[in-house]
Amino acid sequence: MTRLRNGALIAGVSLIVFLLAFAFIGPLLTPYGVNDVSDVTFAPPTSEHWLGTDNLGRDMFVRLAIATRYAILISFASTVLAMVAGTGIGLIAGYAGGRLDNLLMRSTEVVMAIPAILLALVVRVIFGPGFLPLILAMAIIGAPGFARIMRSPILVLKERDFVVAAEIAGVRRPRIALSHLLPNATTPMLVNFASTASLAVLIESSLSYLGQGVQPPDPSAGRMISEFQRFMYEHPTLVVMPAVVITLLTVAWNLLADGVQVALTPKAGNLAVPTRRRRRGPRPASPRANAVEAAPAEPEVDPHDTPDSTHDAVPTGASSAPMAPQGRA
Amino acid sequence: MTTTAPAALDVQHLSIRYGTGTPVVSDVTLSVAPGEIVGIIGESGCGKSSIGFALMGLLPGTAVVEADALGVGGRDMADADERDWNGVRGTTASMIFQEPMSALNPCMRIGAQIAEVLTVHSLASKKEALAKAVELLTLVQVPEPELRAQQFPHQLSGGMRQRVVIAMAMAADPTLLIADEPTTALDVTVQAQILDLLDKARRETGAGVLLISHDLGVIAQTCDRVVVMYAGQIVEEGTPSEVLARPSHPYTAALVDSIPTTHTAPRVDLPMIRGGVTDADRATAGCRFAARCAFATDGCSAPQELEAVEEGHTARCWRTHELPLSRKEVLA
Repeated sequence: MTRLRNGALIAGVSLIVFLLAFAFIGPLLTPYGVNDVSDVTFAPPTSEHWLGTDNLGRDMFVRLAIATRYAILISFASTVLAMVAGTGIGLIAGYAGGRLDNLLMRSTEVVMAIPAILLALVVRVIFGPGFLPLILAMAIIGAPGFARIMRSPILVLKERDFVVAAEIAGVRRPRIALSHLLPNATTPMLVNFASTASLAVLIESSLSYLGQGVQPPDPSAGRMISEFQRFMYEHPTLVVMPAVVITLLTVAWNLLADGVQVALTPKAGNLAVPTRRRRRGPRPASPRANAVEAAPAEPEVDPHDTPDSTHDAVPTGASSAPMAPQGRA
Repeated sequence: MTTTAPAALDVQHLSIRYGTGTPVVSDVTLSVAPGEIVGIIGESGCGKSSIGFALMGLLPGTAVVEADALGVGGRDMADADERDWNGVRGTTASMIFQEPMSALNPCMRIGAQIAEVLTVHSLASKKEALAKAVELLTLVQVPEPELRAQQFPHQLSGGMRQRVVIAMAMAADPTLLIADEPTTALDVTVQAQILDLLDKARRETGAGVLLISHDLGVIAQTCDRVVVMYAGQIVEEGTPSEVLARPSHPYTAALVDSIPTTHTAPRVDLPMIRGGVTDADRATAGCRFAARCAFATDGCSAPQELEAVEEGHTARCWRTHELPLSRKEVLA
C-alpha cells in the first residue's frame, strides 16, 4: 500500500462540485427563466438553447439545472435529518442498552421492513404535497440505517476504559455520549451519509416519476422522465438528459461514500494535529502525504483494534459452586 | 455507621459475590491512611480488582456487595445509591487504569480530557481548567506540557500516556486514589518512573493510594503496607519488609520463593505454586490455600482467622509458628 491515490474521493468530490456548479451557477448563464414558455418547442441543442427545449418551449438547460438543484438539496437535507435522528437513536440504544435498546431497535426494524417507496407514499398522503413532507418522508426511510450503523461501534466503545474513566470522573451520561462516544464512531456515520444520500436521490426521482415528488411547475428529473416518455421515440434526448442527471448524482454520492471510507480508515492518522515534526509545507514527497497510508506511528492506535482490557478487570461471571458463603455478617 | 475518621479508605468486613455464586471477596477489612500507599497483591481472580471497582461503586448490577462499613474519603458508602456515588467518583476517589491507551479518548486532546474532570464538577471554568491541565502535566513530569496538552493520545508514548492518566486521576485532588495495575502495561524502566511519580503525588497531595498489583517487585518498591489476598480472602498483612522478608503464610512464602534472584541457579526450573484457585477453594470453610499448600494437615480444614504474628503483621494460618517458611532476604 504505497502511495495510493484516493481516486474515489477525488472523483466523487469533482463530480459533486461539477453538479453543484451546474445547479447553482448554470441558470445564471442563460437568459431564460425556469418556467418561461416559448414557441420554440422540441428544439435541438443550439447556441440559443444549449440543451434544447421541451414540449412547451421551456429551456431544458435551465430546467435540468434547477432539477439538479432540487435533487441535491432534497437528498442532502433529508439525509442530514436522517443522520441526526438515526444517530441519536443508535447512540441512545447502544449506550442505554436493555429495554430501551430493544424498543428502539425493533422500531427501526419495523420501519425498515416497509418498502421505501410505499413508506414515502404513505407519509406524502398523510402530510400532503410540498418539500417538507418529501424531505421528512425520506428522512424516515434513511434514519434506521444510521441507527443500526451507529449502535454497533457504541456497544464496543462503551466498554472501553476511557468511557469508564469518564463515568468515574463523574461526567454525565449525555455528555459522555456526545463527547466520548460519538466522535469515536464518526467514520461509519459519514460513509453511511453518502450512501444514504445517493439512495435519497433515487427515491426522490422515483416519487417524482410517480407524481408524488417535486410538484409542477417546479422541475424534477424524475417527473421529466414520466412527462417526456410519450415523446421518447421522436425526441429521446428529453428522457436521456434527466436520466443522466440522476445517474451522475447517484454515482457522485456513491463515489464520495467510497472515498470517505478509504480516507477515514486509519482513523487517528489523519486528524488535524499540531506536531513538532514538519508536517506542513509541500506534502507529496512524504510517505504520509495521503490519508490512505497515514498510518499512526504506533500500531496500537486504532481505537477499534486495541484489545479490550476491561475484561479481566470487571468480573462478570458468577461461579457455579452451590456452597454457601462463609463471611462474617 | 458514618465514620468521621480522616482515613482515605476504611473498609470493614467487605464481601462481594455475583448473583448467588460463591463470594469472590469475603470478609475483607482494609484501611488506607491519608498519604499512605497500601498494596493489594494476589494472583488473577483473587478478588483484587473487584475490591477496586466496589470502592468506586462500579461493579455490575449482578454484584452483591455487603460491608459493615465502606468508608471512602470519610463518607460511608455501604448503602450508597448511584447519586451518592456520583458525588464521590472523580472528586473524593479516582482510579488509574491498567492500560493507558484505552483509558484515553483517542478523539480528544490531552488537555481537554484532563480539563473535563474539573469542569464536570464545576471546580473551574473551561479556561482555568485548561490552564490547570497544563499545570498537572507539569506535575506528572510530562515534557513540553503546553504542546502535549494540544496533542492526541496516539502521539504520546505509553509511559507518557500513563502520566496523563495519573494527571487526570489527580485533577480533582482526590482523597483516595485506586491504582489498578498501573504499570503492568509498561516496560520496566518506565514502570519505576511511574511508581516514583505515584509516590511523589501522594506526598504532595496527601492522597491515600490503594495499589492493586500482582507484581511483588512493584509492591515492595512502593508500598507502606501490603495486603496479600488469596481466593478472595486476606491471608497476610504487614509492611513489605516484614511480609516479603519474613512471610508468615505458606502462600506468601511460596510467592516470594518463586521470584528469581541473582542467587537463583541457572538452567534450573524456577519454583512455582502448582495448581490454581477453584470455586471449591473459595467456598471451603477451612484454609482456602490448603489444596495447594505443601504444609497442609488435617487441622487446616478448620476455619482460619487473621492473627498477629508480630506487631502490625498478621497472617491467616494456624501453623504459622511451626512452619519452616522461607526467610531469604529477596527484596529489601
